[in-house]
Amino acid sequence: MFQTRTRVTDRAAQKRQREAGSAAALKAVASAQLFTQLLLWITFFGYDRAQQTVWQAVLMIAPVWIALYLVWKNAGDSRWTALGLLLCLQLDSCLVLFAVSGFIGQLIPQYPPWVGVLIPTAACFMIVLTAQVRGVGYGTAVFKWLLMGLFLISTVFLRASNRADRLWPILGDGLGSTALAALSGAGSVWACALIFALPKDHTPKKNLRWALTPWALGLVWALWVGFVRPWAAGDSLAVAEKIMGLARHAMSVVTYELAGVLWMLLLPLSLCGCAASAELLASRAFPKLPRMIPLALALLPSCVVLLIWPGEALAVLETLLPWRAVITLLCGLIGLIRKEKK
Amino acid sequence: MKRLLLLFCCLPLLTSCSFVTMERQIYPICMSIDRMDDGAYLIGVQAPRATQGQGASYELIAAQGRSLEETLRTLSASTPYPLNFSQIRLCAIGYPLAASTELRPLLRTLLELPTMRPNAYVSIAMGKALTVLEKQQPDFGTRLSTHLSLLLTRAQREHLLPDSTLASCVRELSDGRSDPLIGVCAVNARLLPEEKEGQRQPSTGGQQESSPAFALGEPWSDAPLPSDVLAGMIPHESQNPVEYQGAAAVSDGRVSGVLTADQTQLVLRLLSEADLRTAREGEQLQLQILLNQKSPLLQEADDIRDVMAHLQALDCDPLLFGCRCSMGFSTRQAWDAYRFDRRYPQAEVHIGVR
Repeated sequence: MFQTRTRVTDRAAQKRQREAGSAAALKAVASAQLFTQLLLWITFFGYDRAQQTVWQAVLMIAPVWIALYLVWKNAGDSRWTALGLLLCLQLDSCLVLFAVSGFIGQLIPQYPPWVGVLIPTAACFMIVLTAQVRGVGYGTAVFKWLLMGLFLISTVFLRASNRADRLWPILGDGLGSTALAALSGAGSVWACALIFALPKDHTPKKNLRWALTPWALGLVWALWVGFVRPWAAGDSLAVAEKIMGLARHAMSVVTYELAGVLWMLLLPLSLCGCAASAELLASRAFPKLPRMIPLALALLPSCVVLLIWPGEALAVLETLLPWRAVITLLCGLIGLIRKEKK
Repeated sequence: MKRLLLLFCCLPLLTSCSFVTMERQIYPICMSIDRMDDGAYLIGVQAPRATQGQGASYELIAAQGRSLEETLRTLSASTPYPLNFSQIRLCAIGYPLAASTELRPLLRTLLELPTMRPNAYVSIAMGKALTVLEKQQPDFGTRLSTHLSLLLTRAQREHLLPDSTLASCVRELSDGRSDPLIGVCAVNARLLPEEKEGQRQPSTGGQQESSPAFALGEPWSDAPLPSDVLAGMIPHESQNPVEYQGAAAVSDGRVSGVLTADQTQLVLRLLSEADLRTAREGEQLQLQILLNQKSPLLQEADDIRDVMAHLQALDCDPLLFGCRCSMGFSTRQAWDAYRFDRRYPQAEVHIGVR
């Protein structure tokens, strides 16, 4: 789908276009990852901590986002950086799998909880294993406009009773409190590094757009959560209730269902993105490694954790997830130093 | 070959997909929740009955329990098919239960029920909510769901009933800076068949015999309602004895009083037409209602003062003065320290021109 946009005159141009398409597909995976993680952080942690100032927290994450962007823009590849990113992908997959299993649990209450964990893991494992290397990327790229449309329906066109005055008192519990909340969400923008790490060569084309769009959409999500105030601080909601919390206030049942479709598409896509990214990074760093190993590394620990400790997983993740920013930044700096040495 | 293998592997996964067909579920249209004298909960659901003949008929199923969860479990266990709440149009809550501090947890639990329709209309039943469901019947042979959807949507559009959907009630009850109004429903005892039989000459007047019968018609839809009209006391004739007029005022998470239909209409019109502000000077708080020069509401300044006095006496702030006032504070701590809730009942009301 990417090759047909530009006229191809010779074989070299054809190859260039194919590579550009492939890079764009991989950037789409990274961008979707960034988008999903930001949305999940706002929904599970950010709003509970910062309430109506969660949009300020998203703005405060910007320095981390900028630092990651600048460092990774010039960083080189190495085995150590790949290992660091694999660790972050593992944490990502755990959060996404947690959300998916909770969502399935609400959609099909007859299922025992373990089915909600095993089915997405097995399906994702098989899809990525049987797909081509960039298959998930192309799939994500195909869905990007649909996801964008569903996102707009879930926020701007939700037709919920949203009022700007719900954002007041404008500083909430104070700037310090919001900054602390932002610190907990710093890890959610780590996938900014993937935009540079996944494509084989650093192509400067549209990188900023791929990195900026998910962050801007995250800001819109945070603003709408503030406008609607879907639940009160201290409400202990189920996972699916939080995911569908904003949509619960939709005036129309159709928009509510479409908001559900957004998550139904986004979460499995993101889980497949985690696995595909892990496979790609591992195969580049360790070329002799069988495909199954990185896939299993990305998915199986999350699956096991959620099967054994489903109740404690979210609290543990809340502690671990912010460290993704530190890990990625360190990996980026290592990559930067190695590149300069070369 | 790989894709075929994938498909083959997916087959066992599909076998675990159990689903319940549409015909094998019960879709209640209305739900009632009451608190009995002994503290037990009484939950009723009204669902369409599958009939061979013409015209829809409805069946009422009710269950009792010591807690809300237990009652829901009992209700679910006593039905042959699973309950699906996606078609619920009305959640009627008995006044005694709504007047307790359990209102928000109760609505929260309802909202979180699987398949629950978030924009189901919440109404406070004057008396027992189950009685409202028992006596309710759609007008002109329409289906109950259509009857309720049309009635409630139109009444909200014409400022006769507040927007009190399940989701909005839960949200407003947790806001802490304003209070919601919740629609009121009641059975008009005068319109019950047994009462009618006892009356030789049916009269059109409820409380006010001399007041003209009021019809909700288009040309006068914005005109003020007659005073003292409230659900259960509307001077009209109908086969359907259940009426929806007026609003319950909520304060501190529980219903603290009732607004009559004309008061509700005035409040809702102010909410949509007036510029509502607050002014602070030292300890003084002023609630400002600013209207356009040409606004017909200017002619009703005395009524506005009366309704504001009533709302302040009920400690209910449905006009969002708290939200407006909070915009003058930068942090939540400063806002909490101001104690708007204590100042609101004594605040001065100013009605002026924008």
